[in-house]
Amino acid sequence: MSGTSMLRRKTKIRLAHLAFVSLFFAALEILVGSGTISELILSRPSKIGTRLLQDLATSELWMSLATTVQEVLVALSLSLLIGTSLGYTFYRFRTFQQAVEPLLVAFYSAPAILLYPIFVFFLGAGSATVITMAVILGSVPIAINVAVGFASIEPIWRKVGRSLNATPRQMLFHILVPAATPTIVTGFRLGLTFALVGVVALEFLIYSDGLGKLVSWRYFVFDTDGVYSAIVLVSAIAIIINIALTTFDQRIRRRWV
Amino acid sequence: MRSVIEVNAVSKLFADSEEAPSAHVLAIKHAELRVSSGEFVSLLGPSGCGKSTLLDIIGGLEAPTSGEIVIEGQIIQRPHPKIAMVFQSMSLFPWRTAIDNVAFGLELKGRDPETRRKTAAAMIELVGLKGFEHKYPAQLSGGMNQRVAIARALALDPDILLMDEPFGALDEQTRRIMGLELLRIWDRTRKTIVFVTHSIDEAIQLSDRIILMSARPSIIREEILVPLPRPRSIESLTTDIANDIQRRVWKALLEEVDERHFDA
Repeated sequence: MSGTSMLRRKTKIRLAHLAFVSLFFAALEILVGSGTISELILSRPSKIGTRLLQDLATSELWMSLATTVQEVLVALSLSLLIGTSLGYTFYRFRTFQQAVEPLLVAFYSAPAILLYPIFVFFLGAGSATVITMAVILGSVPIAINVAVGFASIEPIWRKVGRSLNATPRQMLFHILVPAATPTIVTGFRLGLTFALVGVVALEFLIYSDGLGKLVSWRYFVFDTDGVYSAIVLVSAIAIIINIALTTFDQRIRRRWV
Repeated sequence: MRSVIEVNAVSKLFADSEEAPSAHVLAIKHAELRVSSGEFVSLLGPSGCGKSTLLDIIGGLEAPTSGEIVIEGQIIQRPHPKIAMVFQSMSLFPWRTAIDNVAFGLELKGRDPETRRKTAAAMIELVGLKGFEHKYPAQLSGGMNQRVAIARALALDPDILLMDEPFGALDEQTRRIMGLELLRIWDRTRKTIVFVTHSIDEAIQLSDRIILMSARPSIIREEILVPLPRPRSIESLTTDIANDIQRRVWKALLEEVDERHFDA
């Protein structure tokens, strides 16, 4: 495909996005405005927008945002650390992987988040529980991707390392890690997404400071505009993070294949 | 001449598979081989005949089930530092540029960056890739990638090059050109080369001596000297000597087919 037609395609996709989103909001505006959907359930996009602007001028929102972002960052760092080590352990000790991974995946696909009362009991209804649950959610996809990444590299690359008498350390950092980087980065992306979901969901569930709590409180007082204003903000964070990571992911992949 | 590689009564038994761990496959049966310093020897045989396994054993990547490998008078347990290997294809690291691939071994050995850069640049030039130092493997052709692989092996200044069908994935034309290039490089560096191939022409074009191997269990069937004068060219293959060798190789291969036929 030539450069210009590629560009034209991209513009087309952008326009389609824009059209879709505008249509969606217009429909909402009409449905809610006409009373087909109660204003207690959904809010009119125009009102959500106004409210968001008002919210952005308050310290309440910024403090919630700051707490959430902080928790996500801590959860992400811990997920990276735990997920990467666990993934490497899986790769090194196949039997361990075969014993543990199915359990982990089963535990993970059943909504692990439902186990939050246990963590509240041990860690209290605060940041510690929020971060712990987010780490559990975030580290599993990282571990799995790291293990898959290491296991599925070109066998010949390992042979090259062995023929040069590479030490286990050199094997890891000069061959395995760079070779598995694309898969690992995908794992990081999933891990971050899940950590964000975990943080907001737990804040919501256990009423711990942050955007989740803000949404929870506003639901409680039937402040529907406020609920959606906060949700839009959470989505915005998710979208920004995703765009950044996808770009990073693609840049790395381009180099690797 | 002094033997730099001695293969002494090497046999290799593989456990068949995970499903049938008691079933074993005899891959190599009692191989004996001497290679002199500076010699170019080809291991020629049908696909799956265990010639690559024998090369891996010489390279210290696989342990023989019985027998031993002696490199420069020393029984090896692991890859000998004076040996470098070149593999078929895809062996380059796609995340490294050509020059960084060449410098890989030097990096592992802890040479300083300046030495690495200089040596790698010299090797790139030796294999005729000057100007392509900063290209990634994906940006180079198959033949160019194998040049990089050869440069990577030469960068550590080994005495012995073990080459496992290095041009096997290339088209016939490129393969011939690469063969002549290899001879040019060999002429300038005077390494001892053991070259695995299943191409009769390639073996004749390159080697001083062809070791003909049979299919599993692999035995060394015959040694054929290639007294073609050097330097060789594309025309070397059309001489009477070359034709004669070709006939001998084919005869041996056909005999083996006959034997197998009667076995069955």
